[in-house]
Amino acid sequence: MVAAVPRPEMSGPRIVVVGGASYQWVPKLLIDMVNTPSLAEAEVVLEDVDERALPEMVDFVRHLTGVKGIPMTVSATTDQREALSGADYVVVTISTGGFESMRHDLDIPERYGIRQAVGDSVGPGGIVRALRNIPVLLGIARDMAEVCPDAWLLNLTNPMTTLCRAVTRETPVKTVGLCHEVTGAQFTLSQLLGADFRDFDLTVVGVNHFPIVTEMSVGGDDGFARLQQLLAEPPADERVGLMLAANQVKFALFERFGVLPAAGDRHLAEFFPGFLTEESEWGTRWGVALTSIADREVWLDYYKGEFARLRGSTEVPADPSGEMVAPIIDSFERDRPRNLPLNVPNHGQCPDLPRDAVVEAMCVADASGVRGRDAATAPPVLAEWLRRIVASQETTVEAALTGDRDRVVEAMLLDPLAGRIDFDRLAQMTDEMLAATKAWLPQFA
Amino acid sequence: MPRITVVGGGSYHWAPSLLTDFANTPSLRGADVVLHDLDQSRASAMADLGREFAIRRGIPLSVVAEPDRRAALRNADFVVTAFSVGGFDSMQHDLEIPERYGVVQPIGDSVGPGGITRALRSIPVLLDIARDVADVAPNALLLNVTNPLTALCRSVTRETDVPTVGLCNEFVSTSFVLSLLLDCAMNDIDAVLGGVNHFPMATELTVKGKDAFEPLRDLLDDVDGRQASGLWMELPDRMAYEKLSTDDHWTKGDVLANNAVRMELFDRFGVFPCSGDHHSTEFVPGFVHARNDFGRAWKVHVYGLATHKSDADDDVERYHEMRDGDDVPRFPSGELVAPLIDAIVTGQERNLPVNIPNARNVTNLPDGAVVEVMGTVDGAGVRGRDTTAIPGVMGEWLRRVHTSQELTVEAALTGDRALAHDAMITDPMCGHLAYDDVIAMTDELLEATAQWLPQFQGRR
Repeated sequence: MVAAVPRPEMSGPRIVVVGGASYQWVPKLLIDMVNTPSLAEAEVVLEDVDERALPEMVDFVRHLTGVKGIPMTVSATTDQREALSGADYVVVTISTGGFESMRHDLDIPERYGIRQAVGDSVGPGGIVRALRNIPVLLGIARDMAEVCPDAWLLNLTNPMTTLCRAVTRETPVKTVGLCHEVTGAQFTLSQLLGADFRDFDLTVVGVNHFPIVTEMSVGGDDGFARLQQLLAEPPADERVGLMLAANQVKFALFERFGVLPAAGDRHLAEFFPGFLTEESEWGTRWGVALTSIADREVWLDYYKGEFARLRGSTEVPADPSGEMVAPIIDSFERDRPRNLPLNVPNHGQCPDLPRDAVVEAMCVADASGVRGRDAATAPPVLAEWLRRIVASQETTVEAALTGDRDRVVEAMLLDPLAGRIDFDRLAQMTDEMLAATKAWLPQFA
Repeated sequence: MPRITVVGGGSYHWAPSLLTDFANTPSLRGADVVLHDLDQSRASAMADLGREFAIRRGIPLSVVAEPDRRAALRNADFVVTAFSVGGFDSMQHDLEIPERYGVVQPIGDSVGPGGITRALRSIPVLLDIARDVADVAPNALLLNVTNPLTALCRSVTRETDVPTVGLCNEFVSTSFVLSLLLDCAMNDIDAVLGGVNHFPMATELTVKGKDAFEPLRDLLDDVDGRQASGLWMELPDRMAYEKLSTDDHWTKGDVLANNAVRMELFDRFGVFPCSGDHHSTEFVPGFVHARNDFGRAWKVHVYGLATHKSDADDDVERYHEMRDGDDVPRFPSGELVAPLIDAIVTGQERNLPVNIPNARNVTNLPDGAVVEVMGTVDGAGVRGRDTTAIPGVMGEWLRRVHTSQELTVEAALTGDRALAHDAMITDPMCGHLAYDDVIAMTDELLEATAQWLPQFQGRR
């Protein structure tokens, strides 16, 4: 075990990554950090319940700081409270039960006629995943309230909305949920419209993985008009064709409702009952592929390969990853205001939704914190879908906190994917999922 | 004596019941009843029945058939609207087209694809009537019994100043079921209601002022084996219940089994749906599903067009029996039109379930939405009696249905096809279809019923 080495003489922020042995997250988050001048003197602490990968993560970060020649320090620990003591920022990237638990999230609903494209935000998988992760995240937040009460909790863990909501509902810890989906959609749009990524300004309303762009300015022009034009007469370009084929759900919704849902189609499809259906060959007709555990295992191998490659490289990639952890910390540290799509409690940024529900909207982040920038409303039908999702999410949080099995059934009843099946079988499916994952659900024991 | 105009007054279903109740209500025995119908011969036939009642009873009830609608409405005190646009010809499409897409509707007259399309047909007609009422009978109260009740009443209260009340007999039949289960008289039952028509929920239920939820729960839990006990009266044949107990008499367990959906909802969510299961299931996804033989496993009575038609044949037969008889039926029809008019005319306060604009009566729906609540009716008119909130999941379902109903009204008023799509997408019965199918099914319904949807023609 690598001991934590305090560096009291340094002035940079103490940034703790809980789930700090993640091959998926640590490389990109840390590359962004070493590329951010205001974080050059940061004190990075990697904390994980699984100590096996920690030494090589620490080596990796030291390699990065060495190549960059910056004084950033790194240490690792398996002791959560020790890691959190004195923290300024706590980044959380956890997965309770990993693939072993996630397998049940997908397999059991499939036997009941529900196929999930991802299974990490809503749907039966998203709900049960929330039940597993909420107590763990709350444990972190409660420790934070004691040992670093002024720190920011920057949550990257899914399901983002319910997890952030549990913390903001139950603790006073400053919490923000960060997700790259809007950024990814903006990147796709910049490619499609041949516009500079930085020229976009979006107004966003919704929840995580179902954020809806209600206005889109591209260098001051009406981006929606340009998009409509493109969809009406798509240029005969292979790349454009591929991008349109990979985004059929969002463009179908755009054409119908005049606003643009800005997450990957595999996420969006889970927020509606009508896309992942037998009739569409479980999303195939919409170009949505279902992410399986086998796919995730392939991805993990890729992350590990990439990790090894970066460790052996004498260069640090200069491109930003698209994750918002380093940028938001930079905005806090330097009081440099940035507009970012963030998940925080609704204090007016989404008038369609109940106050204090966690919503995703464009916010301003600076030294004074995070606040909503706009007050946007969605068209009636999409506003209604959002309200339905929020009702299920609020019930999910309540279920996770109370360990009440009936609350879980209720969250499922209200969910767009789970709620499609027969009333009795829904309760049966819920019980089966709770039984299969009970090792990770102490509150239901 | 009040002037009561019935639009759709040639209805075999409604006219005989209304005339019977008027003849049996002392304050209405001298009423001036005007029957108006597009089919004047039917209106005349009903007027004949009304006059026959007056002679048999020796009462001054006046019943005339008036083919001119504005003349019929002129100076009315009460206008009852009971009509169906397109009858079975249009309704056939409401049921058959959705069924091809996998949506089986037990009734198809309140929500669901059938209820929505029916609203699109009926709203312009009702609004036209309401505008005539505003012109020629400015003091009238509009009593609508036409389905879908909620969407129709909402369009009138949204677009005109005509005071409007929607009336439905489901609470009455629910009271009968409860009287069997709780060994009490129907009139002893009272409830605090919140919801929309065909989906009103009791948040409190009492018998002679005492809580009835507790005894109902005990019955569900079969405390002391009380499900085996018999009923205080024989079940009328028309209940069409399936007998499950092996005893030679009907048991409370039989009644529970034939009301399985509302008992399940009560057991799980703690509020009691006060309409028949064939209605409730159209508001809650999961009960009418391929996995449970579209509700039949829950003993939901799936009507189908054949049953609707045979009900209509029964109505005709009943009319002839009444006309050829020598008395006036003594039994109240169970419809609430006469009791409501009586309460207003005599000033005798009465509590009746009514569909009226929400005024903080159901706190989880917006004010102005048409809600079904327990009303107080007296000489001053009709108002909501209680304030209640529908909790948890049932509250959320109610909110969802409300959204779809508001979109339905908007679609009916504008003739905007995209809004009709929107209403279907948010509806509990068809919203779960494959996305493409919701659109295709809606278009097919609008196409098949185009002759009754003038507001949608000439638009995209």
